[in-house]
Amino acid sequence: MPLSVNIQKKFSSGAKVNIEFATDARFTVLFGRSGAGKTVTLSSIAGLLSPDSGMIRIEDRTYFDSAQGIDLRPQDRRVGFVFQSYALFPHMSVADNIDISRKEAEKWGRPKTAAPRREPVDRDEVIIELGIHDLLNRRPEELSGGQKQRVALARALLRDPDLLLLDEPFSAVDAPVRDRLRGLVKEVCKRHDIPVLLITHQPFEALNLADELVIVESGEVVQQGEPEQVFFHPRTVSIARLVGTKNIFQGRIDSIEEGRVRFTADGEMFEADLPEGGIKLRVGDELTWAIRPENVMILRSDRPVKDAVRENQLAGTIIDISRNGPSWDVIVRTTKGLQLKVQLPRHAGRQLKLEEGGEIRMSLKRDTIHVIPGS
Amino acid sequence: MSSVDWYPLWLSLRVATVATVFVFIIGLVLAYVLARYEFRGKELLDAIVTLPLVLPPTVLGYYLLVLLGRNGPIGELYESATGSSLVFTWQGAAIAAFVAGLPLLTRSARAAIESIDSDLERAARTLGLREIRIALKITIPLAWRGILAGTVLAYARALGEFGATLMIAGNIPGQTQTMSIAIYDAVQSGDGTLALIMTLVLSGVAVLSLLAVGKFTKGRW
Repeated sequence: MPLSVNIQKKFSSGAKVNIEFATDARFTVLFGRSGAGKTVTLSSIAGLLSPDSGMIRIEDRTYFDSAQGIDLRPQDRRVGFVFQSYALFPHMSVADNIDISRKEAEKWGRPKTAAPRREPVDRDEVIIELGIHDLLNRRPEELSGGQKQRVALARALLRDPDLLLLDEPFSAVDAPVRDRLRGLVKEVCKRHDIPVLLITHQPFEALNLADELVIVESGEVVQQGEPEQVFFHPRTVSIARLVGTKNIFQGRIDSIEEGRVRFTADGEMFEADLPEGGIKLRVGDELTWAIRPENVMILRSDRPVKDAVRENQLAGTIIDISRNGPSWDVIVRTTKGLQLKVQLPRHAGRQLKLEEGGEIRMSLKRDTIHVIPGS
Repeated sequence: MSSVDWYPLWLSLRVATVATVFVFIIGLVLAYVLARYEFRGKELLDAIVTLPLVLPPTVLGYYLLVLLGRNGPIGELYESATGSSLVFTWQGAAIAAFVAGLPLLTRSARAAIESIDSDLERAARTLGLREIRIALKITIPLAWRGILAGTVLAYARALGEFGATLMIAGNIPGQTQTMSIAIYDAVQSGDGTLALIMTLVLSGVAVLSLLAVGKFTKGRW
């Protein structure tokens, strides 16, 4: 495992952090709300904060081990850190900013830091890849958010890090630039073979970037895995909410058979496939179920219903439509009072002639209903 | 009109310059420590450094006499090392000016250092810079305006020091009579013209200092 983290820290505010995870992914995303312990974790790995106890290792290098009394100074760790604010030195040119690590090392030496694990990152290559060659003589104040971000990344890469830490790196950048930067960051880090740990509170960003996703809640890791797995199969209701799942409902289990569970919710009967790997469900127990708005199928009233969409049929009234450009967000209340969010492409909405107050029929396919034990 | 004796002016400049050099070095270290480190007794240290701003100059002078006098701990040490006393010397006056000027630089520099985004220093650490290099290359250059403003204020304060100087260095013409003491002396002896000339010179230096401070802090160079 390239990175393994196991840290405990108590703060005077009473907040407690107990984070434990290991990852060998190239791009790991630590995802959670602000205050969940993400930044504490990042700062601890960089050595900017000392945990009370635990261990931090990157491959064979131990950065922190309370049992052995090891706590390397940040200067002696080989970690590239891109701050949320970028933290570019305002009184230096872009070139001086990105060269500071190597120049200082040349001048003053760095006896306690282990050698770079890889070939030193090529300065000219990084400058070209990140498109900052025209900016070298400028001051940070003359740069746009996206440019600052690229300079900060170049500076961190030229530290020849064992691991690159990115703290909410895209939060201060405009949306269109953000999408381009995400791709660029991932590509450049992969090319230089530097593992990345990124923290974010934005579900889309986590899903988009992660090879491995670690979810942190109230100072603890609550779920870890491939992003699709975690997003579409959250282990608990609170993780489901955290990853932005809408349409979360309660129900009671009526029967379980042949990989399916039948349950009643708000007077309606439903049937769902049990997740692979199995979960603990018992007849009579409460359960939580969810369906993503884009998975709710709207049935056409003028055509016979195909077998494939016969499952879990519901009728309801449209109470609201938000026409958000290419997609529509529709809220439907069923005859028994269940309120469902439905998302569909604009063309489909227009073709179906959806309107507020209109009656529609829907189908919730068994394999798109996600069930979680408990309430 | 009596010819003006410029010795007090030169003495004042010498005393203030020597005092300011020490204020700069020691005040900067104090400001850095107070701004960036947490330790027991930090508030007490801050209070002691600031005390000369609020104490009456005579009280300050009295403390200095106790510390620097023949039987005081510092005075004794100084005398055993150099063979002479600090009391009634220009060096004594410089110490009084140093103590009076120190809080001005320390407070101004501390505020300037505290206003720097601490992420910059944290970033420098992750980039492998030693603490002393971070101070020299990041913190002090960024706090430069505040440090310079504090230095100018401390210099002006040192130049005008009166009460504590009088108590520790006395009023010996040609030896320890600084400008502000000479003004007092001239007024006492009825030499209004001399008092006026020296007053105008000191006022001029003070106005120039304040203009300089304004320039540093507003960032117009």
